[in-house]
Amino acid sequence: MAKLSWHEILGLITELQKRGFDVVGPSSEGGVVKLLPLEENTKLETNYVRTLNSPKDFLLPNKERLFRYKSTATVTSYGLKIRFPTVEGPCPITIVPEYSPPRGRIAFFGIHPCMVNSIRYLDKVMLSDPADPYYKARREGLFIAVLECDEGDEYCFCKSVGCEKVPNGYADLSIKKEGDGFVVTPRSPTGSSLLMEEGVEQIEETIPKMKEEYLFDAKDEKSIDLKDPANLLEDCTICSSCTVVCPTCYCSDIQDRFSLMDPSNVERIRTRMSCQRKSYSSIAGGVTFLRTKNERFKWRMKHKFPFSERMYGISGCVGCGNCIAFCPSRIDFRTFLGRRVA
Amino acid sequence: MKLAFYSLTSCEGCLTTLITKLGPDIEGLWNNFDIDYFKLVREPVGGSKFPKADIAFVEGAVVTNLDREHLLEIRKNSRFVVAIGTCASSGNIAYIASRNVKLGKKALSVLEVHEAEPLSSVIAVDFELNGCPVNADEFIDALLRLVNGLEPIQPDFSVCYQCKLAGNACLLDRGQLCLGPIAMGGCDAACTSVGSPCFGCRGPYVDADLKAYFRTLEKKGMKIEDAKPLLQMFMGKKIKEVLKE
Repeated sequence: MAKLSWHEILGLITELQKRGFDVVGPSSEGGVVKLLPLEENTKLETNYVRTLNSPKDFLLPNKERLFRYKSTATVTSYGLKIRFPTVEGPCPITIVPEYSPPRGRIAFFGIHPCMVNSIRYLDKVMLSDPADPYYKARREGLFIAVLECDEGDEYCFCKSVGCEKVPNGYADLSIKKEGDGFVVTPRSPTGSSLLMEEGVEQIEETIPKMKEEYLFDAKDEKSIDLKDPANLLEDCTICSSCTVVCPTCYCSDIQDRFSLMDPSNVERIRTRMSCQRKSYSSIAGGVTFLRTKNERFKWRMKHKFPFSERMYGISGCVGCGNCIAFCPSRIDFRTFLGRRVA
Repeated sequence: MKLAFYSLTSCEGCLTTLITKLGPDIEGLWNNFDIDYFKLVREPVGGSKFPKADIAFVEGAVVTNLDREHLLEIRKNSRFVVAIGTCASSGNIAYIASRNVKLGKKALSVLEVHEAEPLSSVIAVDFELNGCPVNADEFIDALLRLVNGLEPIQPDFSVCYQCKLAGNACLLDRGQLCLGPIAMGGCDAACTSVGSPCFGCRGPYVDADLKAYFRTLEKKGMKIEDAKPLLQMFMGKKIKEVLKE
């Protein structure tokens, strides 16, 4: 354990960068706090409750290039012709695995326990067999410095879903604000080497104070199916903001990107998808399974609670409250799924 | 494959955007396709004002009697008609502007000026590329899909969706009237990323819920009456039908 000043905290970031980490931390920009790569001009922010984006933006980046492949694009008298493997049957494409894993390792500096819990959830999803190679490459050697959270705002409810503590093995450093300085505790060998200390310490974690607490009744799908969200969703414009700011929403879409300049070189990318979008549940022929906003909302709730519980044994919701705080209409699902107890 | 690019009553900004924003791709466009007409760039090939084309891209709204006649000719001579830009897909600013003024009878000798209409009011349009101006990347994507016999993709998400992806603070929360929650995305939240509220230049997106949007505005202490002119500015005919309900 060491008591560090603000200056020494910044020294830790420089030290991490020297060790080859891309350090990502909360920073205030454009009137909102978000996780950004900490560079010379990006100032670390330690007085914040929530960040607009989350670790998933760095571990599962939007528009990530998976690979390139050579298509059999030809210029015929008919014009340019690219042969899609899906449309014209199997076609002689040579897949060139042109993938270079990210060079630097990622270090999250100063994220709250709820966001650390979201990394655990993403691990469960992306690393369970078969593991996602792109996620795995980014995840390897991840460094996490947790900034303990004292008090949540009116949208926080991490205690109600059991995500107020850092899961075992998910922290290298614990940082706690104390007066003008910070108390930093090493929680892993990497963490202690950074602090020039020896050994790993167990600490009593700060349990954040919650303004509101809830008791959720969403263990099975039926309980969600029986409820009617029509009143709650009267203000919902289905803008899908909730799924963008959610730290555990990982659904993605695969797209092929063509260029007119070099039509034979095709880029396959992974982009974000959202269950609130029509195309999420659309199939050939134009049928959409989740038609109304009530159905889409219920689907989101089912994925976060019963589906995740059944698949991975943990809640898919980490209680960060981002989906409520960044919703243009502040639609609050908490009273829909359960009741307020404190 | 023969392509033709036409322009009706408009600022010609969409065709200009295609020329300037395609970058190195413009070479590919020129080398891989027979472009028989491109307003601003190439006179019609073969003498006919409306050459036979596989895909015709038409910008601009239908305002004059000549626009109407030309558009009908274009439809006859093209296998596939794509409306590019908001003027062509919803009527844009001209739609509401031409309805709020007295057009009068003082028509020019050959031109009669009517109330502006989108292409779809006059002919059957096969696909609409929205945006004021049109997005060059979306244009390439649509073109390459059409060449391969696939239907182009219309964005099915709101501007809010892309605005949050871009990491912007909500303008509605700051008290600025923004059409983000109902406007069609695909623009990468270009306006809101620089602090200007969304004017919905692409029209409402497929799941847009106007009632819910108005309720949201009221919740934030904004007036629905203030939002209506903004809605009518770019969304033209598309919002007229929704507002009626």
